[in-house]
Amino acid sequence: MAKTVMIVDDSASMREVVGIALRSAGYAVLEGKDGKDALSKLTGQKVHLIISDVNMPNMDGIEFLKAVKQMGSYKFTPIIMLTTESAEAKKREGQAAGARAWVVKPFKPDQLLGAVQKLCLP
Amino acid sequence: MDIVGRAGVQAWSATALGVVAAVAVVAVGGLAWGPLLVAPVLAAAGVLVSLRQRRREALLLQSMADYVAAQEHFGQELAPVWCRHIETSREQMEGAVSALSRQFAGIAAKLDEAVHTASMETSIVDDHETGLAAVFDRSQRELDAVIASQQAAGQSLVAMLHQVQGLDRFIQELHEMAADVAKIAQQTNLLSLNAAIEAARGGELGRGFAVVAQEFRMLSLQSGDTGRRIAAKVDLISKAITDTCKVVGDSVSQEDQSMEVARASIGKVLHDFKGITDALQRASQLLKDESVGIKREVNDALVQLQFQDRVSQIMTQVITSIGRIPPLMQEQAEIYAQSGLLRPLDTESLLTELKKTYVMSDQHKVHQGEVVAKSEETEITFF
Repeated sequence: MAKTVMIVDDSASMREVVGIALRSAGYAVLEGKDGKDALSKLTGQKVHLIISDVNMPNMDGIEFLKAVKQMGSYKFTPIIMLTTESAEAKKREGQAAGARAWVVKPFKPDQLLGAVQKLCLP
Repeated sequence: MDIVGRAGVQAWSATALGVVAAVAVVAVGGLAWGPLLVAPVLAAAGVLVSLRQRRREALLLQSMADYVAAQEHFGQELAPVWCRHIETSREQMEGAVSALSRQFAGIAAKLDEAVHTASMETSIVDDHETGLAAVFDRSQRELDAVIASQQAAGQSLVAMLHQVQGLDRFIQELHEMAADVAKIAQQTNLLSLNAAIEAARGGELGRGFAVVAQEFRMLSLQSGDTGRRIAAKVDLISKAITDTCKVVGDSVSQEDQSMEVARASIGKVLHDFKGITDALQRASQLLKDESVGIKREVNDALVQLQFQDRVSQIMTQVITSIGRIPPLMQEQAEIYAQSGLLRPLDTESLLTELKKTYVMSDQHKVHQGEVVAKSEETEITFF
């Protein structure tokens, strides 16, 4: 059974690009256009890992991260922040909110997949 | 004092100076014709200079008002057009790259499927147990074993032929033995004849001996007959052996020829089969190499496609920064209208605001006019 990874990004092209990398490695993909949209799609199904952008409309990545950590079914789901943000202060903010890794765009598919394999829930 | 104030003072100063000069001339020269003529001229000159300065002042004020109005117009009309163009371009680029990414996703999925199928096919060719090469090696070994078995059977047949041919000397011995029997029978017959003669000479006394001689002769005749029959049978056996040896020899010879033909045919089939397996193995290796190359190119393309996201963010920040200009221009116009003062745009605060929106370290470098180096590695921090 393929593991499920949720991608949260307001850029459709970024969701496609991350999706290509994940699907080629055998993962099933669930997409959210922003934090709010992604929360509405977390309806109890098993999600092994979440990859989220930081700067998004409606609900940004840090707010989304905090909201997921408040959800009983998903509070242990590892979250990777995938963003153009590289400021140390922002990273610390993400770490404090419960992110497990911070990946700066653009990413190399093999390296992102390495992080996904390392953190994905069994 | 501002430029408008200074212009006003200068305008009134010229009139005052003309009047003062006229009064001074009258005061000094008295009420004579000369001073009375010069004084009005001086006063009129002062008024004229004053009027000219006021006209220049009015022109200056008008040009400033026009300038401020033009700037406000610039802010209200041109900046939004720039923003709309940039935003439209950003949206079109986003849409185009998204569509491109979707198409690319389809191509990548098909490529994955093709590469997967190819790897399955190549594993059929390359597998150490069931692969084509392994089947070829096994077939070659088994066919070699069949040929070797056939050769062994042929060699056994040849050995048996040699053994049968070796029976010839026994036939010769049997012939000699038959000849010996015939010779003994002949001598015995001769001996029985002599015995009969001697029995006849013995008369009545030799009668019993004559009977023995007669029986003895009978036995010698039977022995001779047996010897001849033995010789005849030996001839028959000899002929049968010779015929059998010829048949077997011909068979062995045909077997050898068939074996050579079979060996040549098997060799040709194996050679052709080897050619096919080698070609398949080469194709399989090429397919593997190409698969690796395609995967690398897909990964490179995925990196390049992500730059749209960065470009989109930067364009959005630039739009926001340009969008700040119209209200500032309007504010400047309002201040001028209220106070007649011109307040310069605060470029530093605009730059500071723009810098606050930067999320990439590259943007700070670009802001400073530095060259941005392209990063080759993904920046990953694990917590």
